Amino acid sequence: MRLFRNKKAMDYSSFMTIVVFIVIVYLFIQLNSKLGAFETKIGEQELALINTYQEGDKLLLFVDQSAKYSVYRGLHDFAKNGAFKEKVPCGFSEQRPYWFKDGKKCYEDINFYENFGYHLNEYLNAFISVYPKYIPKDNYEFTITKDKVLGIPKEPILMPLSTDPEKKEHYVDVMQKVFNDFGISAQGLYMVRPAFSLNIQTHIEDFELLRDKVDILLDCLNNEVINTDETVNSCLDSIKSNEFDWVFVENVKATKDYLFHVQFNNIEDPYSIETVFIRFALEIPKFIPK
Amino acid sequence: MNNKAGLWALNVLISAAIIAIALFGFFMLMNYLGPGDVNEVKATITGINTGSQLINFFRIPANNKIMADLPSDLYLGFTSGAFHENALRYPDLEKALKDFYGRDVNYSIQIGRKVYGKGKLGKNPEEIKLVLPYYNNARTTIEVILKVSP
Repeated sequence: MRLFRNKKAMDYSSFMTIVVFIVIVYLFIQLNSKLGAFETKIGEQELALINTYQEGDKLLLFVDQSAKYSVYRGLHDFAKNGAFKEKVPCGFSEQRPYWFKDGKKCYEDINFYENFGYHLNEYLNAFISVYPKYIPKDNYEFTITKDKVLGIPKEPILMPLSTDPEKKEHYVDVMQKVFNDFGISAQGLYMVRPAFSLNIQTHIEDFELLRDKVDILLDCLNNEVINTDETVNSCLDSIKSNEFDWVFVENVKATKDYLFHVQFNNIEDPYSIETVFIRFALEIPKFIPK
Repeated sequence: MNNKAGLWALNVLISAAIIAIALFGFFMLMNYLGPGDVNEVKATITGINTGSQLINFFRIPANNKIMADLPSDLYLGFTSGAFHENALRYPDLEKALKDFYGRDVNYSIQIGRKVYGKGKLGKNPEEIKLVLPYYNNARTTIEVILKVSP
């Protein structure tokens, strides 16, 4: 105990210890007050941007796939509907749109590229409507070339950047600025233009060729004094080509309609075993005697 | 120990020990309270990077078709024997994964409710979740989850 009876030594050591404690407490208070400035994670906003970029990439993949499927599904519907849009100008016969009725060639003014674009857009709208994030509808201008289908979006898609909702209070100024500029409440916006370019041969030009063939077919059928199954098939033989397989379905006596089914041999849908075919009716006032 | 110098030295030693303990406690406390999530950020960035790579995997061709087509009917061969000559079969998928990640890749791919895989995945496999359209019904999507342990 003699060890601790040296008062001078004890005073000095106690003094040093107390001073160090006071310094540490002061240091802690100072540092803690500065730590308050780091309530957000390091790189939190940058990570939100990278995450949003990845979400954008997923969206682009979805749109690419949807566009590809829409082209093929659209081709089927476009052909089945007689190459018309939804509205058919001359009506239907046995669920087949008229291409010739009351002496009028209803197919003369068809814009095949525009009408195909209509069906493509319909499917694209249906596909993208189920994506978990909002993608605007009727947002594309299409360019259809011999071996490509291009879709250029009219409006970009704005993807909001978001971090932890509890930390929104730290980004009030930024969020206000984004809201003022874009009308969206977010910590930032990432803009995606989901354009697509597909290497697909749609062979729309074959529809134009078909129109020429139907002109010849009509002349042939009208020139016959009386039509029989043989004369109709003979007319079909005269317009035979590699692009199409023609099928004369029947002559509906009550309506004087000749029903046709034409398969497109050049159009291939890799996702379906069903071939692309067009069906239409020609009204010719000559019955085929049975 | 009876001399003065010895006593001073012992006292200084004791006070130094107390100060050392206090400093140790202080730094432990600061370490607990301070920003220490650099590793977390690093891990997240790595995760995002591999996630982006996995998206690219869905764009690479296997049997001349891209993986993103897996949910379409073209690839029914994947589950129940090919009905289409271009169908993607299970070995095509596995080959593409091995080409992409190396021979020892273990993976699990979930398409809708069906899960296919090879080997055991590690604790933190690379993972990506995708929503893809379904060819035969434009108003249906299929969720695809790919997990890979290279």
